[in-house]
Amino acid sequence: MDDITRAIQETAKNLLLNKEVDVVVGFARGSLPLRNTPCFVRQPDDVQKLIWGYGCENNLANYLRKRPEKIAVIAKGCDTRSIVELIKENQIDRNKLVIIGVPCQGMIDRKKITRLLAGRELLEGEVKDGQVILKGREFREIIPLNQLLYDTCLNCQHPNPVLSDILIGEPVPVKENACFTDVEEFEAKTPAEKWAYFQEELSRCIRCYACRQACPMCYCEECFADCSMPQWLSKSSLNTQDNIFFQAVRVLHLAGRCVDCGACDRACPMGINLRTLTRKMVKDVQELFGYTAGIRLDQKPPLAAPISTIN
Amino acid sequence: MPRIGVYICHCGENIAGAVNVEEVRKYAEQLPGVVLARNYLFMCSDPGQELIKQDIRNGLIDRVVVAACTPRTHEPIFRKAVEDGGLNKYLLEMANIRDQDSWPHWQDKEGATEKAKKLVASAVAKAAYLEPLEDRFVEVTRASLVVGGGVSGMFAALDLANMGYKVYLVEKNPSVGGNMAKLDKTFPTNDCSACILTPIMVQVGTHPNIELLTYSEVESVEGSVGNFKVKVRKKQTYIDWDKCTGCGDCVNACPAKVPNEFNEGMNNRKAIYIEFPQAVPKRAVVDIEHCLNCAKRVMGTQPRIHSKTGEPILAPCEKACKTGACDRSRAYNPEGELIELNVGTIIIATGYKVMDKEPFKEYSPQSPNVITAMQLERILSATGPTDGQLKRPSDGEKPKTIAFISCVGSRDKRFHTYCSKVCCMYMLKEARLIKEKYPNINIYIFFIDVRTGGKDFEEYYNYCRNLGIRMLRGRVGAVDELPGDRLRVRAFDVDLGAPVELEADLVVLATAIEPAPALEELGRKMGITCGSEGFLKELHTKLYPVETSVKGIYIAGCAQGPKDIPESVSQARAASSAAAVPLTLGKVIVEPLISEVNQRKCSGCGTCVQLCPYSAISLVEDKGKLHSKIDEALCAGCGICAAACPSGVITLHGFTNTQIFAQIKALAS
Repeated sequence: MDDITRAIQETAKNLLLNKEVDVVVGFARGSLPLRNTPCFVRQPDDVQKLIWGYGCENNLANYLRKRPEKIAVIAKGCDTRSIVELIKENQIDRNKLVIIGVPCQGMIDRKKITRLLAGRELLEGEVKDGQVILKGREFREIIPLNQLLYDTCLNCQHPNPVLSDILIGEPVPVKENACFTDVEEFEAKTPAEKWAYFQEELSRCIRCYACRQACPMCYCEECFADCSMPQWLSKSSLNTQDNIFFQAVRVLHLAGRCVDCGACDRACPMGINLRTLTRKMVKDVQELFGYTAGIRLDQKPPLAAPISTIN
Repeated sequence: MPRIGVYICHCGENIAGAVNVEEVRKYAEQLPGVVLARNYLFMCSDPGQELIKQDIRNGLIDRVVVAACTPRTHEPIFRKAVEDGGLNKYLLEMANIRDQDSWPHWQDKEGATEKAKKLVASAVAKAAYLEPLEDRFVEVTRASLVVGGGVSGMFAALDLANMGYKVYLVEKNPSVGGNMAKLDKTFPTNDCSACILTPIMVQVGTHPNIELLTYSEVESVEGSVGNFKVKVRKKQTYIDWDKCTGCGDCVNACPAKVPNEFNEGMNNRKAIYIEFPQAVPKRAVVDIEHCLNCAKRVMGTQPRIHSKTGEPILAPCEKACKTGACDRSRAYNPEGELIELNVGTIIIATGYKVMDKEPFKEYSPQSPNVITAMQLERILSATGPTDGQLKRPSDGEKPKTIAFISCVGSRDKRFHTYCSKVCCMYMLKEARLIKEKYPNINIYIFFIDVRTGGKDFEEYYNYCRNLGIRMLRGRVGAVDELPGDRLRVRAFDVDLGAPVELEADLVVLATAIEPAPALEELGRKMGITCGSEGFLKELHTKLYPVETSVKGIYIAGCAQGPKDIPESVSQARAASSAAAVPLTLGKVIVEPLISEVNQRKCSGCGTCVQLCPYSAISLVEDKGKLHSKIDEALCAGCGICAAACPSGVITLHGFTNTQIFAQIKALAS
C-alpha cells in the first residue's frame, strides 16, 4: 500500500513539474481513522499529501466534468467506468485528462465499523495482512478485512481500471460473475410488497439530495427536482410518495449510465438502501440491451443508440 | 384567459350515429376557457367552416377546437378556415371523435358519448396552451431519386425526366428491367413482354435527364422533403464499364458455372456475365464470389510472366476482351464506390419476389418437375433455359399433362394471408400459351377461387375455358412422386364433393408474391413502415395511395402490394406526378411543429445528436460550453430528441410538455 502511495506521489510530482497537468485530483488522509478525503494538488511540493489506502471510496470522476484546466486523476475501477461514460456524454475532454489508474483492493465501509463497535469510539485503525485492527479507549479488536468492505466492493466486477494512461500497482483478481441476489430478492416481491418496501425505505428520506450530488452522472443544468415549471415534486420530504417519485426518476435517469460505484448509497445520511434500486436498473439494462455501462468508449449507450444498432 | 370555441361535427351519421352530439356540446360549453360550443351536420362543408370564421371575425374566440374526424385529412382544411378568419392557423386543435370514437364504439352509444366528452375536454385543455407558430419554407433540390429499375421504376423515372427534372435511377441488378424482363407474354393481350419492355429500357438508358445507377444500392437517406441526402453504393463490377461494349466475348471464355438467377436457377451462367441479352446497360460484371481466378489472376495482382515466351499469363476473360475493359491487374475496391446524391423527392419501386417452391413440402419440391410459375415463364421464354421449347426439367421431354396449383403461399395462414392478385391471370395466360401451341396437352388448373377482376380479364378466362383448359375447384392436398418422373396430384373437388387424383408430367405452383428482400430495412432507412404483410404502407389507402408517411417519399408498383403490370404502370405515373409537385413549386412549406433546445439548461451530453434520424442536431460551443442546436430546416418534428433528452430541456412545438400534461390531466379527471 505504501509502495502505491509513493508511486502516486512520484507520478503526480512529475506530471506537475513537467506542466503536463495543472492539477492532480487524488486522496489525502482524512481527519478520522481509516478515512481519506478528496484532495486537489496544484504544487509539486504538495504531493506528499497524496495517499492510497482503504478509505479512498469517493468517486473522483465527480470532480472532472467540464474542467477548463488540464487535470490528472487517481482512479479506481469504478472511477474509470464513470469517466468512460462521461467522456461519451461530452462532459470530459479526454485530451485534457490524464488517468492514473490504480487497481482497487476494495474500500472499508465505516458504517459497518460503527455498527460493530456499537457506540464505542474508534480512535485508531490499521489494515495488516487481511485484518483490520480497530483501537479505541480500552478496546482493541481484530476483524477480517472482508467483513468490513463495502458491499459494492464485495460485488465489484471491475476493480481494475478500464481506461488509464498510467497504471500504478498490480491488477487485482476479478470475480467471475456478477451477484444480483439482493436484486433477485427484490424482484421476487409482489407489487404490493414492493410498494410497501418503497414506502418503508423512503419514508426516511429527507430529500437532502446528497445522493444526487455524490453521483458523477447527475449533472443536469437544472434537476427536475428543482424545476418549478412544471413543478414535479413538492419541496417537503414529508410526502413519501414524492420521495419515491424522486428516487424512481433519479434511477431511471441513470439507465445505461450507472456503474454501481455506490456513491449515492454512501452519501445517504439516512441509510436508505439505494443500491438495490440502482442495481435493479443495471441488471435490467444488461438483460434488455446487453449493455454494461462504462466498459468501452466505442459502445453507444442504449439511450443514445437507435434500436436496430443494439445487439 | 383564452377564449375557446368548440365545433362539433355530426359527420352526417358517421359521428351522430353513435355520439349524442348535443350532449357533448352542452358538456363542452361549461369546460374552462370555452366561450361557445356549436354543432353542425358537416363542419368541413362551406357553411360549417363559415361558422368558425364568423366567430373569429366577431371577436368571440381566439382558439378553435374542432371535434370531428381525423386531422390527417381534415386538419389542413380547418387550419385554412382559422387563418381566413384572421387567427394564426396553429391555434387550432382537433379531437378525432370519429376514427377514435364513433366508429370503434358504434354499438355502445352511451360509452361513445362519454368518450367524446373526454376527447373534447382533452383537446380544449391543450388548446388553452396553444401558441401561434409561423410556417417555414425550404428550397427544393430539383432532382428525384427512383429506387428500383423494374417497369414501375422506369416509368416513374421517365415521366419525371420528361418533365425536365434530373432523375437518378438506382437498380440493384446489373441491368434495368426487373421481374417483367423475365416474363414471356403478358396478360390480357398476350404482348411479348420483352418486346414492349425493351424500348422503355432503352429510353431509360439514353435519356439525357436520367442518370442510371445499376448494380447499386441505397445505403442511407438523410434530410427531408426538398433536400434528401442519399448515399448510394455502386457495387464493384470488376469491369471498366466505360470500355465494355457488351460483346460477350469474356462471358464465352469464362469456365465457371453459377446458377442463373435470371432463369430462376434452371441453367447456369458464368462468373463473368451479362444479366440477359436485352440488358440495359449491356455491360458485363464479375461475380467475384464465384470467380475461379483462372491462371491465378486474383483481382489486383500482376500477371506472372511465361518463362519461355516472356508474355504475361492472363485469365481467359482478359484474353478475350478486346477493349481492355476486363483488366484483372487493376486494384479494384471490393466495397465499390459510395456516392452522395442530393434530391428533392424519392420514389420507391423495389418490386417483388416470388416465393420459392421449397417451403411447400406437401407438393414434393424435391422433384425437378414441380416448378414455380416464374420458372415456367422462363421455360416459355425464347431467352430462357430451353430457348422457348416446352420441355420438362427432368428429362427434356414435352409434358403431356400439366397441372397448375393456385394460391401456393397466398391466402394461406401458414405463409401469407393476402391474395397475390396476379396468379389467377398468369396461370390462365401460361395455360393458354401452351394450349394454343400444343392443343393435345391436357391442362388442369386447381383453384380455390378464380379471381379475374379487371378490364378484359373475365373474357380472357372464358376464352381459356373454351380452349379446353380444365378448371377444378378445390385445394390440392399433396403432390406425390411416381415412378417414371410422373407426379400424382391429390385434391378435393368441391364441385363433385369428392377427392380426385390426377397424374401429371409437370406441376406448376403459382407461388405467392412477396416484398422484395430487405424492403423493411430500406423502409427503415427512410422512415417508412411496412404493413404486417411486409409491403410498404401508403399514407391513405384511397386518397393518398402513392404517398408515404414521410413527406417527399412516394411508392409505386409491387413495393406497396401485389399488382399487375397495368396497375404498376398507372401507379408509377401517379407517383411521378406526385413527386414532381414539390420540384415544380421549388419550395416546400415545412410545418413549424419542430423541436427547440433550451440552450441555458442543455448540458451538451449529445444524446439527441446521436438519435436524430434527420441529422438535424449538432453540438455547438457557446461561451466555452457545448450545447446542442437544432437545424430548423432539417428538423421533421418527430420528437425523438424531446423524448430522449435526459434533462428534458427539448421542447417539441405543438406538443409541449405543458400542452400534453394539460391533456393527460383532462383525460384523467
